[in-house]
Amino acid sequence: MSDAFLTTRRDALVILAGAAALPAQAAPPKFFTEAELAHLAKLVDVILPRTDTPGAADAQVHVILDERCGANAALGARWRELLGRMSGDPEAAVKAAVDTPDFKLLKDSTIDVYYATREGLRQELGWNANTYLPEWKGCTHDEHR
Amino acid sequence: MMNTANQAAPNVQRSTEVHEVIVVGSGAAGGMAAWNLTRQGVNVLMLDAGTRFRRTQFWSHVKPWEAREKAALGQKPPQFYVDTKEQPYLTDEKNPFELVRVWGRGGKTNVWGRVSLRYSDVDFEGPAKDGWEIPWPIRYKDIAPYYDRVEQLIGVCGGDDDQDSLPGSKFHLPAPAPRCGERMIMRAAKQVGISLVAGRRAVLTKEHNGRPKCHFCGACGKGCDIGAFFNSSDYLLEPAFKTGRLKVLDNAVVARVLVGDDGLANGVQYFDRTTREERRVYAKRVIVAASCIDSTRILLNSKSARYPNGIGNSSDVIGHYLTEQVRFHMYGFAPELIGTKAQNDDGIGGEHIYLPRYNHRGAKRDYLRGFGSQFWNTGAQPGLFWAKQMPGYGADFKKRVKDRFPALMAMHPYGEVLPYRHNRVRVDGTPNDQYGVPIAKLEYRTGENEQRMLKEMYAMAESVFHAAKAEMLPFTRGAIDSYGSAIHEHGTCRMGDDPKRSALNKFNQMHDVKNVFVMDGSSFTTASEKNPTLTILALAWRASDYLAAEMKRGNV
Repeated sequence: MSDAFLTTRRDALVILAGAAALPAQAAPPKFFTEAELAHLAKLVDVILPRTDTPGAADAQVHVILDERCGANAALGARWRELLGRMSGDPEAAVKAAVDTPDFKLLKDSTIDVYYATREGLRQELGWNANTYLPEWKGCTHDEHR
Repeated sequence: MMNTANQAAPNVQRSTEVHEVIVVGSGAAGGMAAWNLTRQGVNVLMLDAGTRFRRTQFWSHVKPWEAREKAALGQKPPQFYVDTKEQPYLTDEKNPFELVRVWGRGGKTNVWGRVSLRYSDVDFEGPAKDGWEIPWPIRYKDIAPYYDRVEQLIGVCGGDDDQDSLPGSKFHLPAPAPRCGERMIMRAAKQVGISLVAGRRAVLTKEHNGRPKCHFCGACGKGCDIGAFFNSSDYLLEPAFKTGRLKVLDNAVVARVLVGDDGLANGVQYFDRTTREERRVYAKRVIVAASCIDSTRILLNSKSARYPNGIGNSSDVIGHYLTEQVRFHMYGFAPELIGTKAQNDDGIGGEHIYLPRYNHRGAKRDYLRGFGSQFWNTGAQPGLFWAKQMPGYGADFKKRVKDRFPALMAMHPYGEVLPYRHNRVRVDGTPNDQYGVPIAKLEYRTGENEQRMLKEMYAMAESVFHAAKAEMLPFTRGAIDSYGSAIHEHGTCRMGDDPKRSALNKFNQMHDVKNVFVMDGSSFTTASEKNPTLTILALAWRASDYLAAEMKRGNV
């Protein structure tokens, strides 16, 4: 327990330091135009918005998607079509797209990327595993037997 | 015109040395054969299609977000899996078969699922009792001493349970306690009359034979950085090197087994994976252990005047009877765990519980053979594929996902697929690979028997989730995971007592060619519902004991 807590605190400091440094780091998009990337940030935030924990845009989901499109032109073209159809007010665009392939791509990709980030997996979900444990206790709850 | 095994181009490099034994492949079967022969004084030349994977370079402790950061710096983890662009195979577009291959020291044991279940006489006697295809030439008593030895050598954790469909073991290392979600599955299964047992996995839950114990990081699928689960490279090949009797040729992609005028094998033809040059090495005996599909491809491509349809294939069974398991995945959320704090559910990676076959008891079923079930991914596990199946989006959706993260219960039933002659690996009329060697085509489809079994498998899984009062994720009744996804290919060079209907005898020795042994999953007569690696290791140990004894007697 204490080990896990220390790790979390250390990582929280790392995250804060990283966040402070972000504006200086902002590199040009790999695939999208600045305007497209800004709109994509709004769309992913409609799927997983900031609450008491970071949202998708806080976790740089749009930037990671831009990187992937930069490495895969066909994927980029597919996203560009999506952005063309989901322009305008982001909330209204997502609402209008529900049940379409565009919505599925946006939602599935946002989930895949967000919940693999520090913000999504560790801060939001509280996952703090893939670490060294001297022993395995498993379920210790009598009520679960 | 096909380049047959015995027509070498004049400029091919040949070594003049005649080795005692050549082993093709370095995975569970090849590693075991090499280890067991070298410790008995036999010199072995092993050909491996890749190179050694370095444990220090595994990404076992790289968090998902760190992978991106490392990739940005140009770093990458070991590339375990063979790229189909480098080594293509053909499959039926309507029934695609997903083939997973690892070329390199240790093969798939670097990243295997580690489930280690003994086959029982329910498995070995199945075909003799129900009459579907040929009987196994061995029974549990023949292999039991080898299961004992393999478990002591590699370390398998498990419980003290023992039943007709899943024989017990005196040699299990301590079983890890179940996770919360697994306890709930056990409780629910009990309510519907199904007893689960401790999972059996080749993971060192305590120090074993001087090897360190597992530290419960859950990243076994990326390779273990400390070697706390069995892999052929560390556990078999490294000790074999210490005898001074093992040599390994890296990046040696074997194409064919070569045949002499006497009809016996006398070596192999291979291609250097880096230079693409053709080479030949010679030996008095050849063990083929390149994994089911690759071994079968090698044997079928080993055509000669003497063996026009592939070496040792007078029975014409080689390439036929490809089999594995049908499986599916069902998910639900444990109500008691929804909204709780996420725990570290890594454990030994994969489930800590197992559902052994029970359908051979009670009323006679309207199908043959049986099924068991695994439960990996239960608990708070990264990779939120399930969230995509939940409706909605926005803040409320985000909250629902978070609440369910600790509560996932997963069930993965595996059912045996019967051996069918039409399920096959073929090399006739297929295109050549980059070395000019015909690639494999996989033709595979399951049938009525599997459909009927799947009905009971689905009903069983639903009843367990229902008893757990689980909130279910959507599923399609009767749907199965893609063919090949279990990575348990078997049967295409099967053993049996009848040389007209089998390629190998009960010691994995070819009926037709006494100095060729085939030791991997292709030698299995049936698939069973179980994971095969423990049995591959036991069979390879037994077969290589027999080979060593036959060599001493001067018989081979």
